[in-house]
Amino acid sequence: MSLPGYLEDKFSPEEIQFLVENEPIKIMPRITTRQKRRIGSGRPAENTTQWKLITTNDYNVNNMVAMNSTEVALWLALLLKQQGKCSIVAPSWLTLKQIDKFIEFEVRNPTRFANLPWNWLVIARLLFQRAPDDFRDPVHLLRGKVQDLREVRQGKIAKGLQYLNESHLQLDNLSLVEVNEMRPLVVGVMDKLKEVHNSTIKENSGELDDYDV
Amino acid sequence: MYGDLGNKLIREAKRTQQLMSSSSPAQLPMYQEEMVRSILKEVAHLQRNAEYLKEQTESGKLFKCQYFVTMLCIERNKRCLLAYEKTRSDILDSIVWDNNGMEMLSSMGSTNHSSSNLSHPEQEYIMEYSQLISDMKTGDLVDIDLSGSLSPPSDVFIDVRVLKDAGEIQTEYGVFNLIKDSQFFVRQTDVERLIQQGYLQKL
Repeated sequence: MSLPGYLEDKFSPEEIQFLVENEPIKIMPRITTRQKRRIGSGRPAENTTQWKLITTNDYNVNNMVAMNSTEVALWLALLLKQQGKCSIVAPSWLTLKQIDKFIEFEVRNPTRFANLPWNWLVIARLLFQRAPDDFRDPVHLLRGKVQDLREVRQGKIAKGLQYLNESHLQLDNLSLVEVNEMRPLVVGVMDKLKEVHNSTIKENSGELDDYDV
Repeated sequence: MYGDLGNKLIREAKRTQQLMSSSSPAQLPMYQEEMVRSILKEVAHLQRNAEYLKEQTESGKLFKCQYFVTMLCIERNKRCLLAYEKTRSDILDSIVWDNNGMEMLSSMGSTNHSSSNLSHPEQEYIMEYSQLISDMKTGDLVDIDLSGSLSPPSDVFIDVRVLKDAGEIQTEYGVFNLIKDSQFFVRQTDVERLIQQGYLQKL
């Protein structure tokens, strides 16, 4: 097939990263791209390049002022970061204090998941990897906390699997990575359950018809 | 019994499927021509039976039942044969998408070195299917390399190491001198095809 089998029923981790990289994130640029308007001659200098982006809004990119925070797509931020042209502002939930709160919530509510952003795992991994010097809190502690959070949630997911049934499942606040890794199992099992369930229903109704006659 | 040969063929198809899912670029095992032919023989035999039964005008319940069961046996064999062929054609499709049509489209001969394992119709099929793919690629969607890598691009520039000596080959974007164990820092899009062909290793 044109699509290989391992991609047929779920996203690959790279694809999830690709999706997440389209999200906006705050950065502190270290370059200035805003055109200075010369006083006197009313037109901007002509020899400077203007960016034209087709995937994201290019307004912010063309109006960066060094050390003034602005918002760009994550992939662009990572690209600039790689070249040392910006520093990424860590999202507000990615601080020790906030994550501690999340962990506490997770521990206190064994039946619910904390309200993390849908891409928290990917964002955390990408930023730890590519922008470890931009965090206010030490990265090794953050890493540990994120790992804790992940493990607590994984435990809950495993517990939730015993409620698989043929009709529905509620997964509030589960992130894309977590959904994606349980997708083949859950969908497969639920499909089978549904099959079994539906076949019994049909048989029963058939019998009823027979009795009616 | 009548269905047994078909069962054997299905087990063969199952084995093929497992083989392909475990190691992707392996070659397709032999086409089971013997088995297929004996199944076809069996079907012909069943058909003769059915025709004979049909001519038997004195229709009783017995003949009807016999006729029905014969038909079921034919159905069964048909299903087994189709399942086997479908498994193989799926694998052939994925082979064509993976390897063929990369870079020079004329490399038909060198890529499927398992072509002796294919039956004659299958060889014809694979040719025509790759023709279909190249038709599609030269149609409206010329700008996109449809058979290119499916993993989304992450790094623009990458390090590659040359694994096999290839001399000076390439490309639409310039010439590389591919000497074994040399290393390059190049745009990923330029070398993607060479990586797929196994000349380069991504670092």
